[in-house]
Amino acid sequence: MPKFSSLSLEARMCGIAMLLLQTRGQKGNNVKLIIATIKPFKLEDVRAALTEAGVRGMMVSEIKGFGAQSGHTEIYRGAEYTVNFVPKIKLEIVVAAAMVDQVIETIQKTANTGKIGDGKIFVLDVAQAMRVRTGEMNEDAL
Amino acid sequence: MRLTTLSLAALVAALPSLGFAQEVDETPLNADIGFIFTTFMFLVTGFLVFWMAAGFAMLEAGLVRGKNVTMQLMKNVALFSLASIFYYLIGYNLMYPGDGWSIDGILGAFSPASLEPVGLADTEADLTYASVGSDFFFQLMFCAATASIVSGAMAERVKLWPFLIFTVLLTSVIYPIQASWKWGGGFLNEMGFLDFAGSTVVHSVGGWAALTGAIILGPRIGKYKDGRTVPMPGSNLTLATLGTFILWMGWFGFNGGSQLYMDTAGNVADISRIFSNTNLAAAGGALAALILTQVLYKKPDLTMVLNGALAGLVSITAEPLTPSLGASVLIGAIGGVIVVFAVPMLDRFKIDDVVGAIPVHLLAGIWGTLAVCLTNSDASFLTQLISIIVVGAFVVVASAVVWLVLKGLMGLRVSEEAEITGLDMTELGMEAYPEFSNG
Repeated sequence: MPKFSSLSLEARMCGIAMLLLQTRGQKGNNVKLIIATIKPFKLEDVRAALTEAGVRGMMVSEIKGFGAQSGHTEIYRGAEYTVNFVPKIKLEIVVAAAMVDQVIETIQKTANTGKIGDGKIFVLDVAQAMRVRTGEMNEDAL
Repeated sequence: MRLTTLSLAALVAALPSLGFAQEVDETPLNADIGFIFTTFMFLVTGFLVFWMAAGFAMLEAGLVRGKNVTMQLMKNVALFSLASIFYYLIGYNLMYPGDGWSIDGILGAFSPASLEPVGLADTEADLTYASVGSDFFFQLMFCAATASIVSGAMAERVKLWPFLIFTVLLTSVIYPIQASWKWGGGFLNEMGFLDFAGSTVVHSVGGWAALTGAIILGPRIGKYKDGRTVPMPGSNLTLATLGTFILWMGWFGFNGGSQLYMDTAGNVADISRIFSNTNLAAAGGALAALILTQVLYKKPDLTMVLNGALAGLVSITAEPLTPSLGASVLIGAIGGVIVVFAVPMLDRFKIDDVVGAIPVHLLAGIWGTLAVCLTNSDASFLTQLISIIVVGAFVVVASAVVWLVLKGLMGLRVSEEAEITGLDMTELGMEAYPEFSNG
């Protein structure tokens, strides 16, 4: 398959038009949202591995929650108390559908400690994506 | 060579007298030197004890929740100011009546404090001790420290004004009367009660008043639920640690100054002995709490270690002079152990002491007062015990009367809503950390 830039102008226009038609025709598009919760101390490793894998952006939030790990007890001035919510980091990464498998595999490998509480990964369809600066849509917006 | 040096030295020494032969020799008389040094010592140790007010303020600001920090700081600065003024108006002469007892050995004199005239003009000043100004300044700081102890135990729920009225009565009447019994030369002193710098006279008095207040006031909302203690972690352990170190430093003045004389080599050596012992007792208390919380709870508790250091200091306060360095470590360490067990014990009785004032000042104060017998052969266990009970009973009854009257007249607690919202916004309308608030 020839490189896109080596094609004639007509061919390029034709290709883009076909792509637009294709996109219009589909119900969704090829952009996915990956939500991952990880242990806070793993954030830097995961960020580095994802950048390596070609991810060009992510959203990071400090959250609290509980899952299989549930809470644990601590002692303050001799009084025991339960910590019901455990601090986690939530990553939100929007990528082209083709990258999803690689991204979730990378997160799973780097965030894994083998102990309970390593987190979860969810993949969702994204109905639309737009780059604010240029108005580019969907995969082009990433 | 030696001869030359000697004659040079003699020449230099002789020069001033040669040059100023016509002027009056202004070298202080030997009799004045003791007065000068002791007065100077009271001023230096007095401002060290003053600085403990900052220590209490920081410790308490750090151990209350963020929504009550401004109020806690307000109480600390107000109580210190009130203590200063009322100790001047009533407290000082009630505590040190000299020969002017109203009831001999029990109730001192009622008159405001007054100082020597400027430059000791036209007086036959007694130069065997220190200036009245320095003594008043030094003793006032002890009175203010007693009041500071109470604010921490009753934090986060007591109304500002009833608390301040209690402070007035504590610093003008309750503290000076019982202190006159020992330090004013009253009946406990006659009995042979020993309390060097105030494990009982200052610390357990503050502790008894705090205990009585905390019981009458009741715990913070939500502190004890379904038979369990709910921790309410402090807002700033950095400040709590700074406050503890400030108190630790102030204590050198507190105990060192209580030597009361710096006019002989023996007294100066004793003051240095007291500084060293005081420091080691604090270290012993902190390490005991560190090790004990590690063993008991698997994780060491900083707030307990801070309390442990203070308990070590309170423990050595009744006798910081006679113990050896090693004995000081042990006396302080037992204070630290007392704190670690007493904090959860008070919680079991549902006595909510926000900063640990009762274990630190009352219980370690009692221990320190009894521990005098270990190293000072002049002490009698029975006399120490009786004195603890007499002072305790007086302070508990007097405080209880004041607290209950205030409760009846104006109420002690803020409303439930104000307590949950936080005293900073509801009582003062300003916050210590506005950038971190919800509203």
